[in-house]
Amino acid sequence: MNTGCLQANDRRIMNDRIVQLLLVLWTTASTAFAAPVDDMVLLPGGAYTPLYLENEKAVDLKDRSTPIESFWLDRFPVTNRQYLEFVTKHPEWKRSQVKRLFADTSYLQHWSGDSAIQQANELDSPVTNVSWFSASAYCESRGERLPTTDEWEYALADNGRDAKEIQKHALDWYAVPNAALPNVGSGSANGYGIYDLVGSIWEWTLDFNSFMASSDPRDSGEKNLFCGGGSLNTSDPRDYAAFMRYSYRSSLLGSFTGKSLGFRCAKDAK
Amino acid sequence: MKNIWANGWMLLFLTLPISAYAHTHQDMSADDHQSESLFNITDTWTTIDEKPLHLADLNTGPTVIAMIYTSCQDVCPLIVEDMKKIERRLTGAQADTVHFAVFSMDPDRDTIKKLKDYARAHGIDSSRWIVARSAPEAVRRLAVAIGMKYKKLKSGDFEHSKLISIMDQNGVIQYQQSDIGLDGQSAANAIIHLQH
Repeated sequence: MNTGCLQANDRRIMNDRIVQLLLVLWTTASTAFAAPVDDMVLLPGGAYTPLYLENEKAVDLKDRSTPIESFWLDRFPVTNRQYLEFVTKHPEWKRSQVKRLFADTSYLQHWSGDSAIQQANELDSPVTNVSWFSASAYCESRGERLPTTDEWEYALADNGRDAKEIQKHALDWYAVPNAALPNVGSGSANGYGIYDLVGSIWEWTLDFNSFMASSDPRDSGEKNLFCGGGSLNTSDPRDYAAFMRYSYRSSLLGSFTGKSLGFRCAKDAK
Repeated sequence: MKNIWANGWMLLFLTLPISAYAHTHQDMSADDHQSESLFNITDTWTTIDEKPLHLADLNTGPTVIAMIYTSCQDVCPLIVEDMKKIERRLTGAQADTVHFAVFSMDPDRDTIKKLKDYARAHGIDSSRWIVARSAPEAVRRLAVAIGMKYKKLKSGDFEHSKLISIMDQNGVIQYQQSDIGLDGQSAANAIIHLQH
């Protein structure tokens, strides 16, 4: 009997130790995976299943997942303040000097001048009315790049945490008209410590031009994902929010700018 | 009837971006013109003669542009064939001022040697033709600038638009055709128009 008690105690102590050990491991792991450096977060590598699938035959579900290598991602979208510093250093990206090839006429139209922002309270809200070329140039000036679409979606998917909540949050946001943009970081961070992926602005991705949408939905042999049966080719037909993001990206051209379209930067972990 | 409508819509769709250019073209100052020029892209490409190439070097006449990759089985040879079709519709004198530029979208696999072999195999190694490669960033920038979509698949192949663009000697795209069979004559006409 005594022996039994001792064993039970031992087991409890063991369990406590395991819990402690796990806590230590968890803390170490989470700092390793989400250590802030220059306001960037290191996301662990993993796998992600894109909404739109490759145009290849007979892919089984396992093959559909896309490996994502560990990468750094900005904790927040780039702000007006940060972008202002950038155009000051790189005047070729000022509103008055930018080439039409790189940005359309709405580029930075919410600013009051070449180097001035009308509303002081806009300084820390996400910069918008920027083109893919200008966003890329900003990231390159930091020795970084835009995140790929897969990386961006992977960050949003948040390792499966609250998947339904994320979809709902995104849809609720897509459904309301544009409001004034809040400061970055006003929302709550996801499990990786990333803010504002949805709920504030749409964001450029490095390969926004990679989604193939045929000009003619009757082209056969291609997975054109529009109405009705087309959506059966998606990895998750219920994820209408993701569908909207992919459609939106595919409608863009590199010089386009929009009052709800901003960006954040990424870089390789290596 | 149905087909006529379908073609009509497709033509409308395809010509829209171009008519947008044409429309603004008339009241465009020289500065504006230069502002939307592809020559603003300063990336360095390497030709199969192993010489550096900047887009702005293509300023002596119209340039027919396409992006391909050499291991492409289906679409890319057709794109090159379409470009040759345009070349054939021009007289020798007309064609001599035109560049036919083929840019690789596959920096990982398309080495200079592979591109050289490809050019020889497809008979596009004459002085009118340019076949070049560059870094992934440069490839992406050019693709985005001409509105070409592409995605690398896990197999290493690409899903991509079948797009042929013609830019004038100032680097401004004046004509584009995508996806449906290229009308060689209208492309040739566009070139002849640019030469006058």
